[in-house]
Amino acid sequence: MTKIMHLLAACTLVWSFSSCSKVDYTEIERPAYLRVFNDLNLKIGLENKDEERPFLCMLIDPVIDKDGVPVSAAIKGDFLDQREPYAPPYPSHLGSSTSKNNPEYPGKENVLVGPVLNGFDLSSWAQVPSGKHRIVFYYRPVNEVSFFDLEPKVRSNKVVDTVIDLGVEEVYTMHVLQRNFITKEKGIILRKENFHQLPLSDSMVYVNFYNYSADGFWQADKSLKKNQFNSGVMQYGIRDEMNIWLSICKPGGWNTIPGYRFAYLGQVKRNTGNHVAPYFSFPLFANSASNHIVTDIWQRISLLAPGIDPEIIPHGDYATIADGAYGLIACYGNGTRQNFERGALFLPSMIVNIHSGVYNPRSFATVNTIEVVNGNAYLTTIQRKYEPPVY
Amino acid sequence: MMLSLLPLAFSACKHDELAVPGEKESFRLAGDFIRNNYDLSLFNAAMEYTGLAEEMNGPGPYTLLVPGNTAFNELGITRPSDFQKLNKDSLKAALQYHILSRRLPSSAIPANGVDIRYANLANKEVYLTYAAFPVDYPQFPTNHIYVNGSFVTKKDVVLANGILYVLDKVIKYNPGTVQDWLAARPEYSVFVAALKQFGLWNQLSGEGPFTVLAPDNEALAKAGITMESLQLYTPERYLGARLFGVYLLRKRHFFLTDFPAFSSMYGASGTQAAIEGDSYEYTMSATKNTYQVSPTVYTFGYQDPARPFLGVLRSVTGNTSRRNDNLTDNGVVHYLPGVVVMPEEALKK
Repeated sequence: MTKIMHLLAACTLVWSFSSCSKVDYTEIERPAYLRVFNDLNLKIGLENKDEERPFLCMLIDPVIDKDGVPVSAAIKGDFLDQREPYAPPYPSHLGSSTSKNNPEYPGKENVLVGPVLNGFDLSSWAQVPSGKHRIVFYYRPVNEVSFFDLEPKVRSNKVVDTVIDLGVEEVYTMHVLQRNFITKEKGIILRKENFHQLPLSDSMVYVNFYNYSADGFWQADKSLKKNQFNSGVMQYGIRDEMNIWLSICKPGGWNTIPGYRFAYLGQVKRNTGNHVAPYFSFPLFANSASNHIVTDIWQRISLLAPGIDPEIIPHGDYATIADGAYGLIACYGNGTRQNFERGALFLPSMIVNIHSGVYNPRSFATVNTIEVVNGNAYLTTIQRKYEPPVY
Repeated sequence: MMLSLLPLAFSACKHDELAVPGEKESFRLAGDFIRNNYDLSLFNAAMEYTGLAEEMNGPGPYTLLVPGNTAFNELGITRPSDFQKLNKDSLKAALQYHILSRRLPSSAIPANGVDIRYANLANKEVYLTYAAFPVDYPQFPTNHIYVNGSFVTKKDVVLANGILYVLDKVIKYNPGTVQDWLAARPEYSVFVAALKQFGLWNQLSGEGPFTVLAPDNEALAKAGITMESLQLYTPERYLGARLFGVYLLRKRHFFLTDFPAFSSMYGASGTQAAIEGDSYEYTMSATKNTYQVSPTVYTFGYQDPARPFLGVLRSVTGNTSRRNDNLTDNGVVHYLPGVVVMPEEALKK
């Protein structure tokens, strides 16, 4: 009995010591939230084989040695590849990837991410210390060697070197892009988002548009641009000023819902400034026949040069060359190409349908951004925190 | 009985001369490896003639890009004694051009990297292109390596002091400019005279890069252009930018193997661009049979963008491997066995 008592006493002692261990949580004081995209979707061909491939490494506050080669940095976003067409609300799709190539920052990086801010889930935004920071993007060779393990010779090829000022608990989206198609000048855009400060309704879907194409892209001869057949009619770029028309359709074809055939939203102007574009909205349950739990409508966005009536478009909906006057974006399902809309650029629907609570699926309204970059378009969806599924 | 055998058992366990093979001893040094390889005997002869063979048995590390015997044969070198006719110093520099001062396994080369430059013992840089996989189908790797227009037929041969690749073609580097290269070769004298006549010559000593597709005197004669008849083609009557400027591709440095490399990576094996100073376009493409390791075949032609339905108006195909991919300090020269634009097609209207 005494033996057992001794054993128990010893166990208690060990347990009491172990329970005292201190856990150090990684914490960033007064953070800003940052998400970075590499918009350099450049043509890679024989004509420009001497140009660098747009595969980047982002360094925030780098330490640079006497030879001008970075040796360390406060924050590193390595393997930053060209962005993917869809930037989802949660970085969940990255968990199943086996490649080191990162379609966005933070993306696959294991860093502290943003909280739920005014209902919006910022888990795709990294926490970075606020204040002034030097930020440098370097070209890097396409391999799996971490940036600081590369030879010094290939570590000093800069894309952009600038200083940014980040506010406390502000949400930023940063883009590395080509500013001029002729001079190949590169630059960054640091957009201070305002969606979390606006009184946005959770029964409306919001979307805003940017055209971050390089200056002179749509005017340039098409032999200088890459063929992007998946971009449909807008593969060689859209003009600097375009009208946006929204149609909301039933799935399986393009039968519009009453009241949503070519609804005029506004204009998108080519601008590589830092401003935030206004949000346009449409009701989540625009289809009056829906049960107000789930809806499967899709969004058909026509971008047309001013003066063109969407009902009588001089350009066909097939993959013709529209001289920049026509672009067609179909936000349908999970973004898979559909045969009935051959000239469209397909992106996932802006309405997120997911198992939540007892409903599987349930439709959620989101806040979206569509960025047109050199004949391609990208969709970023931001979602509110939602109820977990009940099985 | 058993006790008497016991000491015997212990003595049998003793292995004084047990030699564990060293990790590197199962691999040979570069110099020894090449000397013992029948297909590399000409490269070995050149190394011994220039005194590099001893150095290649040194500590290294080296990466050797060794042309096989067939590669030397195409240059007319078939026996070890043929090297004796060559200048020892320039041969040594040419061999050093094939040796990198580092150990470079293919796993360390960036996948799908184009013209990655690695320093060699000649204090220059080779242009290495690694067509690893098609970007749209990364699950089907090709893993082809090209160096300065040569194709790597054997990769990653491990040596004690480095690594070795076998090339199908000797790398041809010539110090100087494209202009120096053309001026030094009498077989291109008519082409040089024509460029001078139309004011296209001086730029070739300037900043490049240039890709020059040079028709030799024989090729020009087939189109009726000789030193004598050249007087007839005056800049007043003929468009020089089209007639002879078509052969000068500015701001381009194309090795012929760039075309098959881009074809396997990006699916496009050709290029076309406006002829500088003219309304016509040149077109260029090339293919290589990497299974049979045949010479790269290239086609160079021109077209009129105002009449697209006619397609390429005339093209010339060449595969004279030994005369192509001549790298200079400001460009690359390839031999063109025919004339693309006939004089009557370049008449001023």
